Amino acid sequence: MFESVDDVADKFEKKKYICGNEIATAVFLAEKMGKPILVEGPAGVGKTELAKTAADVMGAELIRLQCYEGLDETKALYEWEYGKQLLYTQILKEKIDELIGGAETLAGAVERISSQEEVFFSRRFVLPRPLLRAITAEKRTALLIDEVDRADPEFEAFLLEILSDFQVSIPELGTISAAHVPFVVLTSNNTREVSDALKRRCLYLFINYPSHEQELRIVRLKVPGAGERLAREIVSVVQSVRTLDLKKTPSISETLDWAAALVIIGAASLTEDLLNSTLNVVLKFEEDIEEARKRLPALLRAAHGTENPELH
Amino acid sequence: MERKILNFIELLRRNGCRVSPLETLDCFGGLVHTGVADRETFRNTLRATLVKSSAEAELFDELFEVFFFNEWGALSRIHAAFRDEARRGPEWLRNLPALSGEAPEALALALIENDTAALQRILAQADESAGIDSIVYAFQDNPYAHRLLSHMNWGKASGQLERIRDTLRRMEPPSTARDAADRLIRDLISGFPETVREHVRRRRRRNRADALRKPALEPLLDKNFFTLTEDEKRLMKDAVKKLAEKMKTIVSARTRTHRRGKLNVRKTLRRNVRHGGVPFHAAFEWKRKKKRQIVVLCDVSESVRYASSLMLHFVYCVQELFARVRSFVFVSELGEVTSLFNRRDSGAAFADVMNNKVIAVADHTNYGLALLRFHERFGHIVNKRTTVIVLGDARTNYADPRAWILKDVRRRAHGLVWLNPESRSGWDQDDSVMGKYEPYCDAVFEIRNTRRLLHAVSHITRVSCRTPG
Repeated sequence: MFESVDDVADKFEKKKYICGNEIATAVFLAEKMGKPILVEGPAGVGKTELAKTAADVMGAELIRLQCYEGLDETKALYEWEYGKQLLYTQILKEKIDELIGGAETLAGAVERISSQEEVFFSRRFVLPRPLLRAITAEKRTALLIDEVDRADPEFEAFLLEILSDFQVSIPELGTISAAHVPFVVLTSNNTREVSDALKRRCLYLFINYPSHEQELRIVRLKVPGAGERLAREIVSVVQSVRTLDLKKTPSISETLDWAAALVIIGAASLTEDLLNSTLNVVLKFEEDIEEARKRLPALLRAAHGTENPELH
Repeated sequence: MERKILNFIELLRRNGCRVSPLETLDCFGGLVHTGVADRETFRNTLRATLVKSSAEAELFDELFEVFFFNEWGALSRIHAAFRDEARRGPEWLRNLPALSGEAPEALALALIENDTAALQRILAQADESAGIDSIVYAFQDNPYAHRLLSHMNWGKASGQLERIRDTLRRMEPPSTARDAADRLIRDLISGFPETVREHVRRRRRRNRADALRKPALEPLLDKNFFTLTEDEKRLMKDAVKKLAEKMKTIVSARTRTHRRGKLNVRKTLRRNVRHGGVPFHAAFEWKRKKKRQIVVLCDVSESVRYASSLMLHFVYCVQELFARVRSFVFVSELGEVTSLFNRRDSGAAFADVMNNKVIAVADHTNYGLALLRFHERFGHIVNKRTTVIVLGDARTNYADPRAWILKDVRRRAHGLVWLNPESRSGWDQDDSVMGKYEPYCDAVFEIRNTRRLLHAVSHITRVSCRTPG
């Protein structure tokens, strides 16, 4: 799949995902060692995007499992399709009557029905959920288990079993093993500490806010409409804003939104007015906007200067 | 290399990063694919396999820098400038050592040929004879560097290099090749001692990290708060926090089991219309989550000063972990610190408390008055979902204890817990009125050490998440 770490970075860049050596190494290792990657980091730095891009690069189908409190096996793994089973029994009513027609006693009828049980508990009536789909797929898939910290600890224990063996046992059907070990990415926003056992199954990757130079590359790539000067100014301002004491620090997605907005407005360079009126694209809380407004001149200096001064 | 990586893992462990044998195996398994040639990739491979949290990642970066360092980087750069010249230039450029007219010294030879393996060997030998493992302080850097250089016979080697320069300078006519060679030797003569000094500095930092063997937590847990040093307290804080986090997981698991309630008939019917009304999917009523509230009152007076930093830290953790917490500190007056703790990190918040920013901390303790203030101003926040925690030694300077307030609070609250940092034998001695308060508490703990505190925490979490009766 990948020849080297640099190869990963190249292929990702072709799909418009800029990644440093750190991310590329983790992806390369995960692919070679067949281990899941656990990605942590602030919101909006491209954790989910990483999985999508990896799927795209590998030409694999992306199967996504969004975690939430109360998520259980029937939503994550598989469920029996009751409705379909019911429908079939209705349609096959005559056939069933025929089958149990000769039975003398109730016990005899039950006996006959139960000998046909496997018809109703077969693959036909299993409704596969993301995890089972990822395992049984004919081609290799990419499995994204998003925000695993939102799920309950019990679910984590259950994931552990699947991620270590890539097999699932369904009591009525037996054990199903993966034909192709999927490429697994787990993400966590760190609202709760993920258990050590799960962490040990995974390679660990922490994605932080990008460096000035990296973010500039991302803006150039994703918002090609922004001129070189504008792109530089945008990145400088965002980088300085991140040093402020804010409720919600702007992430890459905010940078890109802002860049896109400024391109639509038709700005070639940032002015104080423009900065003032578009701050709400970058910052999502009134208090944060107030905080940034107080430092507008400093932000503007950051935008127009080459250096990137801390604002404190 | 394997040895070196294992040593590095050992170093990580010693600095508090838990690396399991499985992860060690993963690390080597990963290196099979990525190799050790590229430093950045090598580092990231180790990072991806050995590190398990962002806090550990920071520690990893720091130790990696100290441990894996290309000592010959500076010298290689000197050579890089010369390499092209050597390839293009006359034959003698490739045999510089001969210019000294004597049998070349091993070190001089290795330097000129940029033979890092040989240099490494020479340096390792010198390290051993100079006993570099015992360097600890920065002021030892220069003496150690001198010692290393003399063990490597640098005096002789540099003399030889100088003689080569002499020969070069006498060469006629001047040529770019001659100047390049001269520059190379000159830079090596000044660069090598600098490299050795840098080496000494790094070894010193590494020795320091080696020595940073964390004192074992276990014995500290049983040590009395009174005798803990500041460093030990810091360590305890981490332990308290970690335990508190575990508690939270347990609590969240426990509250959820209460949530499945009665069958919701309407919803069930609606959901099963497509099955002809046969109820395949049951829908349940969800019990509304009863929001717990914790109220903490923490004594910060002189008599409990030895324990107050840990007690405050405990309050801080509680507030961080549970959604609805109101925190108060008191001496004789009472002040709320909930928003202060929300706004500032623990260190800054504690400093504010101790600098009289909330209440006058140098006052004489008066439990009765503090309780009265609480009752007057905040009595209404205590209800059947509230667990009240008091931290203090109940030494009230012979003032009226006003135990009736505690009785009233207990009557209105879900639970009342008292944590006393003093050992039980001191209770009711002198001005302690613990005995007056104790009857109104659901549980009383003496928390003279961290283990007791942890025990108390587990009790509180159990009490505060039980369904109110």
